[in-house]
Amino acid sequence: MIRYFLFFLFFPFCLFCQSNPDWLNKEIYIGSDSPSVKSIFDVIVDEYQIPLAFNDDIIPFKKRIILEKHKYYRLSVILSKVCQNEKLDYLVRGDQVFIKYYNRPLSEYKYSLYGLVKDSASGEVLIGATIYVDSLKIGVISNSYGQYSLSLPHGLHRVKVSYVGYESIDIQLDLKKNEYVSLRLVPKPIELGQVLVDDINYTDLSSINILTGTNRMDMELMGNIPYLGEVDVVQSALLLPGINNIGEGLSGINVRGGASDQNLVMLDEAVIYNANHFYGLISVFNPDIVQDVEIVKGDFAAKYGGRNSSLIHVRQREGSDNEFHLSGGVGLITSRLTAEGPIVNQKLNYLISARSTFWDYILPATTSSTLNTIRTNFNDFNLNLKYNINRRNKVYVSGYYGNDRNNFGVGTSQRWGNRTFSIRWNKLMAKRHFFNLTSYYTQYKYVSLNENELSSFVGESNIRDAAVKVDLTSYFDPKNILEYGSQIIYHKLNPGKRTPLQGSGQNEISLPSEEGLESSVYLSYEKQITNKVSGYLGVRLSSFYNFGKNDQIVISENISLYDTLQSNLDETNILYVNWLPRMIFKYQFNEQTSLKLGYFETIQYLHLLSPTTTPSSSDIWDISSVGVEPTLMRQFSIGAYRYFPFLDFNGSVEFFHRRQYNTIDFKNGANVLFNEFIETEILKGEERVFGMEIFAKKSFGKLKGWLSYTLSKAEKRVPGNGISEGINNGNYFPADNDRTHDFAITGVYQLNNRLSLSSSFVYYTGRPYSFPDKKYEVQGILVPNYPDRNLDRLEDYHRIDISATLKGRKNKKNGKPRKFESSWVFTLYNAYARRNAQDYFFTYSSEDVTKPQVQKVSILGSAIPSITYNFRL
Amino acid sequence: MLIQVSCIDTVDLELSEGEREIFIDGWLTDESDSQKVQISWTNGFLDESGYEGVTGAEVYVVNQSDQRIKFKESSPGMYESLPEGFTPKLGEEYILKVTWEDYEVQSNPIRLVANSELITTSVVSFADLNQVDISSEENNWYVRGVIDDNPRSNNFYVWRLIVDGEPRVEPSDIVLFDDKFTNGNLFAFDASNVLFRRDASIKLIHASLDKEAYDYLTQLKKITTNNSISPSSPPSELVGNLKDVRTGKRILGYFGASSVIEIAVQ
Repeated sequence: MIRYFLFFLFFPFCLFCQSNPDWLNKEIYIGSDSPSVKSIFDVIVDEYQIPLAFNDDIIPFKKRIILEKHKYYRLSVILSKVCQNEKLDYLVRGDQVFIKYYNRPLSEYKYSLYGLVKDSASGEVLIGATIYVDSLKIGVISNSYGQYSLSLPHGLHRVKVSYVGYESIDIQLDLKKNEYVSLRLVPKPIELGQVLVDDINYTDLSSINILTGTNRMDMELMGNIPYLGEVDVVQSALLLPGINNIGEGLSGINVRGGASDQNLVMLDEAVIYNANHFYGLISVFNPDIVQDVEIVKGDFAAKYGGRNSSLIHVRQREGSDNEFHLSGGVGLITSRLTAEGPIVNQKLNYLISARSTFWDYILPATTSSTLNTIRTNFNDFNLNLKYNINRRNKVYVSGYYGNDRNNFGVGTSQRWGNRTFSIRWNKLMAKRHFFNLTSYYTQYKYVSLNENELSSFVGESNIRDAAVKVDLTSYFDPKNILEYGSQIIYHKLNPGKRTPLQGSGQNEISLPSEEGLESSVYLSYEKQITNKVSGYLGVRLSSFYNFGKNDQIVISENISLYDTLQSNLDETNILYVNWLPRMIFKYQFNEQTSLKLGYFETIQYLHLLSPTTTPSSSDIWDISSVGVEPTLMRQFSIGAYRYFPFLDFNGSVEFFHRRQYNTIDFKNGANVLFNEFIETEILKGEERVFGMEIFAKKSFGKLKGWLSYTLSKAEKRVPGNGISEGINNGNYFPADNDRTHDFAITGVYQLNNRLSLSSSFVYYTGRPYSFPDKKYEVQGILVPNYPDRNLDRLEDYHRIDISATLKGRKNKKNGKPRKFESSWVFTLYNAYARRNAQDYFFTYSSEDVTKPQVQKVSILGSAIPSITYNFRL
Repeated sequence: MLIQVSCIDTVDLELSEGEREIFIDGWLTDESDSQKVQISWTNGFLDESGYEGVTGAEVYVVNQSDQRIKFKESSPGMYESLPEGFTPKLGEEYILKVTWEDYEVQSNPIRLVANSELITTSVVSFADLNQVDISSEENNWYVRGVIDDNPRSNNFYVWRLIVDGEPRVEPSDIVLFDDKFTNGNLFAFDASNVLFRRDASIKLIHASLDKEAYDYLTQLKKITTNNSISPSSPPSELVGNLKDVRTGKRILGYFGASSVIEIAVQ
């Protein structure tokens, strides 16, 4: 011990000594691998006689330094390694080499700037607002609860806050400690011709964001692009690249070639199992309650899972914190009413909304005997409550109730709908950590009712989920973001139950329910590795346990026979466990340009049993079991992203390739209705999709809009099994939703402060179809013989929609603002009345029953006008 | 609403013409002793020349006692059990055998299953006449039948309607149902997919099917019914129960049997 100098004793004197710079360049011989600090210091002091001064108490003597044996290292290199991560530093003063505590300059101290971004008028939080420090070229986006956290150095900063449709603000802060700052933005009046580069959300640029394949719907822009009289989330999504559907008036959307049951549709974190009303013409999302729509096409962050193809997360608006508002609209298709306001000032607010059709009253009044016998309607109700416990803790309660009803003939009807209820506790922990605990219940229920004598019954099937999930985000600084959490979902499926009514000739039949537990744990880390390179690494450990309550039939291995697995012998219990990696690397050429590479794996344990080309409301869900394996997807994507300041638009081109394994298909003539052994109707297959997506969006100025183009190929292969034949001899064939070219261009032109015009043009390749190669006749019925599936195509599809939105005057004649706001929305769907092919019918002519002919069916084959009146007070 | 804005146009499509194949349609009934088997060639979909009969084939039905009932060609492609006559028996199994040039076609064994009693029939309005004004000239009425289902087995039924002497032969007019939910009960079934005028004369053919025949007709209906409003099954080849025993190749068509009751609906 005596060999070492006492640092504090000698240090002041040594500062005046003559310096000897050669010490640091002195080559030291290392005799062993990874020596300890103590052994190195012994060598330095004893063998090389270098005057090294230090305090024993601060030196990590046991620390091992990674150095190769039998090599020479400069002293500076060795000391750097000793001091690394130890809050130590070294310096030469006079003839001495000192090791001392590192005196951190003020500029290296970092503090958290955190808080909420809100609408100044309503107090509603703003999702996706940009908080940006130009001098440091760093920024963050407010999360789905409006929260943000930035780690900034000590000192004076100018922080810019911006959000689409709001005035940007600049704030100056002298940061000397962690600070909570609530950022309030004021909605922006329309100013024509003004294009301010300052208004651009730098961190919202796809070139800056690390995630690929993600679109956040600009609801302000969408508000100017109504569809059949009102804004529709699903129909608007169809204008984005990589998203299409089978045809007009049909349920379900397809993302990057995936099946329609592979989209995870969520409303405030709760899963929606059927997102359609009215045969797929209208989505379940009432436009009055939508605050934010996030669409992710397969490149899920680690926190998302459960479906393979896409995530569509709709978040409901919060009610106003400050005052009561009533808003709504009256249209030909739907009418809506929304009330919102504070219950306890700045503490508790509410938003409640209802939407309904009134076709039940309109159809009986028509002169058409076809129409006036039909009864069809839907309605839905939304609720959102927010309770501010304090500025760090908030609780949200949201719910949805939807109901569709059809009557056909006398005494028969069917009803279906989603119900969701979620409660969320949102906490801001220790300035940089966000915590969100969600619990939700969701149900999709289908009911058919027959009240006719001797055949009356009530039939029901449903799926119910109860879930709890925890999500945490730690913003160590904008260059290091950690996300972690877990989720557990209990699924209970009732595949079918029929209960006879009094006097009925029906028997009571109930298929046993199915139960499964889906759980996951995830961790992801986003890091800016260098100024140019960033990475996102994530993993999701996903598991699914089927309680095995039902007997199952599986095909015996290697032989063409069915085996029955008995639930009472525990033969049907099964646990699936999968590690799902997610990774992205981004190379940032400059602030406007980047290149991203991504690889993702996802898995899906729920399958919609839909043996038809498009899903139906009565389709039931099934969970993975011994005989129905989960569907695994792997996706690789690469994209280039650029912001063009002189044209003011974001552009991107993405290439992707995805493969899916254990996809579900059905053997010909499959019967899934009340089938206890559904495994016998299913065929296992795989899918492969290649694609290129181009997207260009202009968000500012008088003319806004976007252009999207997708070139893709989606193919399936269903080889069959020992019992059932495959499709197309087990070769790859085009999937039902394969569209080679899919092009959409949408524009909104703000003519003046009150009037905006918008138009969309879409063009896509006709969907795959099967043409007959011969025909014959069975008992007078013409039977086309289809040799293969999907090797032909319908004709190409295109149409134009136009709309105009006329807002009421904002000010009275005396210049004071009106409390009552209103607007008229005029839309014309399919403006040039193109008769796009939905189907070809191969049949006999109705005039000459011996003459075969091909008939083209168009569903919305006319121009369809619509008018809606909206108001808000 | 969709029905009102949808439209149908005739279009010209170039359709490839596949190799023509033999098609066999034979259906035994206990209605009479005249049984028929039709053998014809398929043709291209747009071919308007009709279906050429396959002549000179040797056609016979073999019962489970291995007795052969020979069918004679009555017109090109049409083979009949007359003049000797043949009425299948309930519960018996039959196999169709056809020999023609290089073909040696045989069906799977089929069974004539017993029919359940049709207790009553009635005509019912589709629309609620208390709410909607419907004239008697509109196709708004359908047949309701009450069936006393045989409890000893799973039963499958097909109905065919003859309206004003004309059989309804559109695919959507096929009425198929089973006793999955009504086994052994007295139950009502509505043929609400076949609508007619209130004053039309209606004959109902109530026929039994075995499971294989029911599945065949269900598949026939699925792939031939044209409906764009509701989700449709993907098109596929209609798979019957006939095979060329020499090559193992599937032959188009079906050989089935039904026990039949024909009644006039009042």
